[in-house]
This record gives sequence, structure tokens and C-alpha cells, in this order.
Amino acid sequence: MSTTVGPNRWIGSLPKIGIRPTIDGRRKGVRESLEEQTMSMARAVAELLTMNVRHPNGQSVECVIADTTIGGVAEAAACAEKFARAGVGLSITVTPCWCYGSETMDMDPLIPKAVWGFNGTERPGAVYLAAVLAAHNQKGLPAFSIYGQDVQDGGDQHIPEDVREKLLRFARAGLAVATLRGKSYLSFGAVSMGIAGSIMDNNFFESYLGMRVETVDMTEFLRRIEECIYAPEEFNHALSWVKENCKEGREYNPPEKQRSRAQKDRDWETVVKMAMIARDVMNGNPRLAELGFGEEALGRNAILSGFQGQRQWTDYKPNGDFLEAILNTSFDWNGHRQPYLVATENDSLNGTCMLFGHLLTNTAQIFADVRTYWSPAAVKRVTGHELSGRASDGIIHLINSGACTLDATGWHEIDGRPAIKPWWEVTPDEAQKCFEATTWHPAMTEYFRGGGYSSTFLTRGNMPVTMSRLNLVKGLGPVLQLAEGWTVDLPEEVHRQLNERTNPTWPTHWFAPKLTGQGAFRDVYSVMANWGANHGALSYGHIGSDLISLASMLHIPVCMHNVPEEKIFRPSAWGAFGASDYTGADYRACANFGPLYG
Amino acid sequence: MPVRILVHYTVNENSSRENYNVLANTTFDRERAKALSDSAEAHWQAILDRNIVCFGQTMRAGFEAQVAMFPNMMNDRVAGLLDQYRNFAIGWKLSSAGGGGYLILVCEKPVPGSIRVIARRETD
Repeated sequence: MSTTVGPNRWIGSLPKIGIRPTIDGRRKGVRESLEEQTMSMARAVAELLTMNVRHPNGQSVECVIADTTIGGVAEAAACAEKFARAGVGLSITVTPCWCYGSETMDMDPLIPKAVWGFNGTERPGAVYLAAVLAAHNQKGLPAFSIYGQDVQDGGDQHIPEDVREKLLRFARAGLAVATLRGKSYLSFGAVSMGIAGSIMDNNFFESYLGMRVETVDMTEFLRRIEECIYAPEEFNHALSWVKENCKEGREYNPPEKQRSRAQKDRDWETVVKMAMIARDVMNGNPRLAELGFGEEALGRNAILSGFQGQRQWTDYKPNGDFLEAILNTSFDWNGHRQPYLVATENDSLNGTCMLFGHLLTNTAQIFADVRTYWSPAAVKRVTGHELSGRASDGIIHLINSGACTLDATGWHEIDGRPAIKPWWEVTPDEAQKCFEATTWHPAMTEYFRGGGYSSTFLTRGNMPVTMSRLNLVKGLGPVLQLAEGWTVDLPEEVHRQLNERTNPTWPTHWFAPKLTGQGAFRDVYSVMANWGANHGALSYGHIGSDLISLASMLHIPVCMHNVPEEKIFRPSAWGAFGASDYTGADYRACANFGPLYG
Repeated sequence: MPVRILVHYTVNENSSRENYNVLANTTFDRERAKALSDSAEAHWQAILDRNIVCFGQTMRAGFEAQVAMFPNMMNDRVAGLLDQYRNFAIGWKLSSAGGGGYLILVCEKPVPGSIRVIARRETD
């Protein structure tokens, strides 16, 4: 792993993972014989997680192990006290043996919990696992069950592959839950063009994510621009860098609707200032304090934001596309850095999916309109081209400027294949290629009267991606949907013909979902038809399993997914709501436990 | 914040060339004139507001508005000089640049080789 670590831009320390080695409390023989094996399990888990799980700033996760093995209530309480002081955000209980379930269990209702019961036969770790999970379920404290497929010998300190996978999945999802908590969604403006996701639902953020919602009127941008509340030296540098690295693209507006060269130059200045200001409002900037703006220097502890833009702002001033695109990208004039998450049109629900994806993968995210389903027949009719390979069942045209990261050009590479890597692994050469693959076209003034610039590129094919979307349904609450699939390449001319039928000044990703032949994944048309809103968020990789685990921790049901059953990992209580009907059980379990934060 | 206004002597080497005319390639139009006028207004307002960041930034905007009208004010040497200071100057302006002159920098930190200007009110 690279050693690059960025600053923690959020207030407070990053959450830690607590490891709880539980043990049979009977002394004078039993306990003593198990101490070393139990602590070894804890140390092995801590090492596994520290080596493989990172925070979004690149820092390796820190594990905290209880000072002693936990044989009863007193030691459980001492462990809880240690964890609270250390800032533990999720816990994993490990044991190779029988212990006293309700006396040793983690009782903190707000942190994700898992129990790994060693699959051995010398001592009954699996019996404890079953017993303590029964206690968790009886008390309404859901916990994930981890139990190896194959029996291990008592002294075996190796973590089997299936256990390892579950430990890592739980850790990634649990860490995401813990990281969200206490942070802010920052709403720049209000409702954009009647888009439901921009109708802020504070209750959702507070009750389900443990976050707060901050609202800042878009006039704040005007004030900071007019009163020069930004770092001027950085602006001078940024503008120069942008002129060098952001290629202005072809003008698509008809001559009578084009903005003058002087207006366009001013627009560049404005959009760079907007990007800096949005970032500063999200997370502060100590330079502002030096300039005498102590309040503005603090920021709003935002982990996610959304920019309304349309229409009050964009009818008057340059659009937010540059702001959103550059902040969502892993690099800018200051070099490479953790992406800032900004949802276009203030779609907080799509933004939440970007946030989930970012926290699970540490990569930059794609925000896109779910624009058009292209059947093989329609493509053939329009272009004469026969779709083939992964595209053979049809494709979905995903397109939107603004909040789509430039990392999505696909010019990072893993093993020679297109990828989106965590920001700390992106090389300067890869970053440069992403910028070279992107052009910035003057915004279409029929949409954006105030001008601005929209990023344009074509995403390279053959990247595994997962599209997700969170929807709010009255009477039901939040529901997540997701589709794993691939980006695909089309012949250049076919792409051009299809792309230019719509706004050509936006980035395009041709998406082919994985089909299962059933339900919403019967065919590509059904995926599109079952999508719950006009937007989707895409993450690099097939992360459906992680998203499902994360949603279950937050008690948010998943209505639609194409993840194989054997990859679904939810708290053990979910099985009690219907072991033969995973989706129905998910709904019933989430309804039963209610929002995580009440 | 202690802020310095520094002047840095520079030469526009174009001026030594035969037939050099700083006014050649001049482009006047309403938009360019308005940009210069707006920046001057904003600069004056920044002085009235005692807002040093806006003072520097509007100085830069005014200079760029001038260059848009008189492109011969700029050359590679001046651009290179500006690049040296871009990351730590709040703003700048090339003064009397027809045949060489002074680069005025508004910045917090001293610039080697520069002259520090101290402005005092009459009552000081």
C-alpha cells in the first residue's frame, strides 16, 4: 500500500474499530487455557483490518483491542469504557470458545456489531456465536454473524478466506456508518427544478444516517465573490492552472446565443471562485482566518453537499458544473487529494449514494442522469450497428455534467485495464490523462443563461461499476436500489450518432447492467423501467454486497439488486424475518428495527 | 494582517525594439472598456472598505482589463515574472509599462529585491 495520507478534513477523530476478545470466564483452568488463543484471534483480526482497510483520506484504520479478554459484565463494561474514550465506531467480538452471551456482548445500540465465532471443535466457539446472536436479536441489537465454512484446529491462527471476506465487508460498511455519524449534508440553495431529491428531508439524514443538514443560500457565493472571501493567492494560482489544464471545447451554441470572449473569460474566473468557495463552506479554510474571516474559516463539517444551481443561480450566473466536477475529482490545482462530494441539482439522495460509494471504496464518484435505454433494435435502426459483447442486450445512456468526477474518464489503470483508483494511488500521469481526455464546453445557454462550462468526455469501457440510488417513499421511508454492471465501448461513429441526439456537452458513460433473467434484471429495459428516479450514482467496482451490508446496518431496505444470494451479508436477525425470502425479510427487519438513530 | 505593497522594477524589452509601439494591436470596445471601468470602481470600493484582498484582486482585474485592450503591455518575461509571484501575491499591476516600469505586488510576505511602500495618512 502507498503511504500517502491526506488530512482528516472532518471535525473529530476518525472512527476506530474495536476488537472484543470474549472468553469463558471460569478460572482455575478453563479461562487460562484459552487466553492466548483468544487474544491471538483479536490481534489477527486487528492486523487484517489495519493492513486492508483505509479511511477516505488514505489513513489505515486503527483497531483498539480490549485491555483484557472479556469473561463477564465487569470486563465488558471496562471494554465499553475504553472504546468510548478511543472513539470506536464499530465492534467485532471474537472468540474460540463458549462464553456467557448476554454478559459479554456489546450493548452499544448505535454502533455496528459483528461476532466471529471460531469454527473449531475443541471448544464451542460456534455455540457461543449462536447464543450471543440470540441475545442480540432478543434485545433488538442486530449483529453480523461470522463463522468459517470449514473446521479449523484449535491452535490454527490463520483467518480463512471466507471469514476474511466477511470481516473486511463488515469493517468497510461499519466504518462508513461510523464516519457518516455527526457530519453534515450541506445544501447550497433549495429545490432544483422540482427534483424530489433536492426537497431536503432532514429527518432522513438525522434518523437514518446520524447526520445533520445545513442549508446555505446561494447568495453566499455572491457575497464571498464580491467581498473577496477566498484565498486570493490560491485563486491566482488556480486560475492559471485551469487555463493550462482545462481545455475549452467546441462552442455548440448558435452564434446569437453565444457569450462573448470577455464574458467567457469572466466565467472562468467565476467558476474557479465558486469551486473554492463551495469547498471552503463545506470544510473551512484556515487562510480565511488569517484574512480576518474567522467565522467563514470554520466551514460546516460537511461530508457531502449539493448545489441547486438551476434555475435561480444558473439563469443569472455561470452554472455549477465546474465546481461540482473539479471538487468530485481526485486532483486539482493543489495536486491530488481526497475528492469532495458534491451532488448536482442538490439531489441529496443521489448524493447519499455517492457518499456510500466513496466511503466503501475511497474512490471518486460518478453522478449521472439515467437518460435513455437503447435497445439493440433501436441502436440498429439509428446507426446500423449491431450491439455485441456486454452491450448485446442493450445499454443505458448515463450522462450529466456537473457532479461527475473526471476520474471517470477511465484513464487510471489497474493491471492495464481502465479503472478508478483511490486518490492516493492516482499517478500524476494518470491525472494528466484524465484532464487531456476532458474538454470544457461553454454551457448551452438555452439551459444555462448565465453561462459556465460543462465537462465532456467519454468513459472508457470494460470498467466494473455499480449504480445505486436511494429513494424516499411516503409510508415506507428510504429504499436503496442498485445494479452492478459494466461500462462498455461503442464504435466511435456509433457513439457520436447516439450522443449528439442529446446535449453533447456532457460526459457519457454507456452502461450495461448484469442481467439475472429475473425481476428487475430480466432485461436492460426492466432495469431502466425500475429505476426510482432520474439520477444514479456510480462507483467503480462491483460493490453491491458492500452496499447491501451498509444498508442493513442503517436499517434501509434494498428493493432491487443483482447480487448473488451467497454474497448477501446482513445481520443474523434478518434470517428470522424470512430465511427463504431475502428481500421480503430485509423490508420486515428494517421496519421492525426502525431508523438507527430513532 | 500586515500587508505590503511592493514594487518590483522591470523592463519591457519590447520597448527597445525598433518600431515597437505599445499601442499597436489595441482593441477598444464597449465590453473591454466596461471591464476596466468595473474593476476601477471595485478597486475604489475596496479602498473605501479597507478590504485588502479585494484591493489586490481588483488591481489584478484592472491590469488584465488593460492588457485585454493593450496586448503589447505583456510579454513572456513579464508573464514569467508574474508566474513567480502568482502563488503568494494577492494581486498585481504593471505600472508605466510602455517602456519598462514597475510591477506592483500586493502581498503579505516580503519579495526579495523589492521596495516596500509604506502609505500613511496625513494624520499619522
